[in-house]
Amino acid sequence: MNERSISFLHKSRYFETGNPETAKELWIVLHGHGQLAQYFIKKFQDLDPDQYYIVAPEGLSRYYLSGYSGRVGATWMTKEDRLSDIENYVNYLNVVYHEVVSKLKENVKITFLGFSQGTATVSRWIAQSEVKADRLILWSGIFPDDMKPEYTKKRYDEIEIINVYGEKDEFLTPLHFDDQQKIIKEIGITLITIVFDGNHIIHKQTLMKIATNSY
Amino acid sequence: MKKLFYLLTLGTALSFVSVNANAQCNADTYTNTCIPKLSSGFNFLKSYKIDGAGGGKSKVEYSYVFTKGTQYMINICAEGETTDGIVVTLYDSKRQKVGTSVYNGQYLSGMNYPCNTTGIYYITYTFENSANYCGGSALGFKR
Repeated sequence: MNERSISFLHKSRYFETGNPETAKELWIVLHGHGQLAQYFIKKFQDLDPDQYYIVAPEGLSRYYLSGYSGRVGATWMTKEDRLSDIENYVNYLNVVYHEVVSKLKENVKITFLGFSQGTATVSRWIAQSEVKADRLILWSGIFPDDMKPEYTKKRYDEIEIINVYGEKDEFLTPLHFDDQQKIIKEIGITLITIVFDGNHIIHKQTLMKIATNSY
Repeated sequence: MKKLFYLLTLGTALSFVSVNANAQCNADTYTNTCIPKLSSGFNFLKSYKIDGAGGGKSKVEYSYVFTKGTQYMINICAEGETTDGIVVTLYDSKRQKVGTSVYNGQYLSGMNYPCNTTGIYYITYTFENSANYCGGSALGFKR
């Protein structure tokens, strides 16, 4: 048996809210495993649409969350052929980035937010691309352990990095935080940590505090 | 006679294992060599494994979105100081060839590409009289 790879054109969607012509900030927000961008973007609906242009790309694989029908979710990758999945989502996200940035005025602040599985996705994307990032928010998730620390530092050096999580998060264990400490030590970066009273969610009040820089 | 048959079978099996072991490609070694070899001023973006499966694959291909106004460098590393016949060729989204590491019949250790059009590009590695069909590569950029 031989395994072969082939490239072909692929059409994918993304969602947006806000006015790119008046926005002072662009937020590119990546959902977690089993979510859909059209619902995930609603978590950001309290941000002023004239000030914030929100873009939510979607994981390239969709599936039924339970059985063979019903609710659908998307995932950025699985363990199967993961390097191809990473290559595909980095290309997809780069194309989305170029399209949305071309609509903006100059000097717009750009924030990347990853939630849960989206944290690893957004971290790898920034490390493997030329996107301009002013701020990275890792929400309810941590850096992946497969980034090359010596080269990642250079890429992350001028980016403000915020790690946000709920103190009752059912998915984050002390082991995750140990891994996180190890990774950020290897990369040589510093994080701002914000903890909220809640679990594995986008906590509205905390989001507004970060958006308005009042944390 | 039966004994001889078993010995021959075992011998054949062992030599097959030995050939396969030789064909193993540890491309990570070469990608790690390649990253620091990016020319001064180029920032590392991504490394690529080039595993031609001991000659079983005629090409190894990756894709990447290049940005207009950015210069890219793609280098190749293999056993020793040579590229072991590994050639990198760059194609644009319409599959038009826009660059290669072969210049005047010489196999160079990489190529540069100043990008004029943002879009998907295909980075293709092929093998010309390669001995090991195994290598690594790094992609870097500068503005």
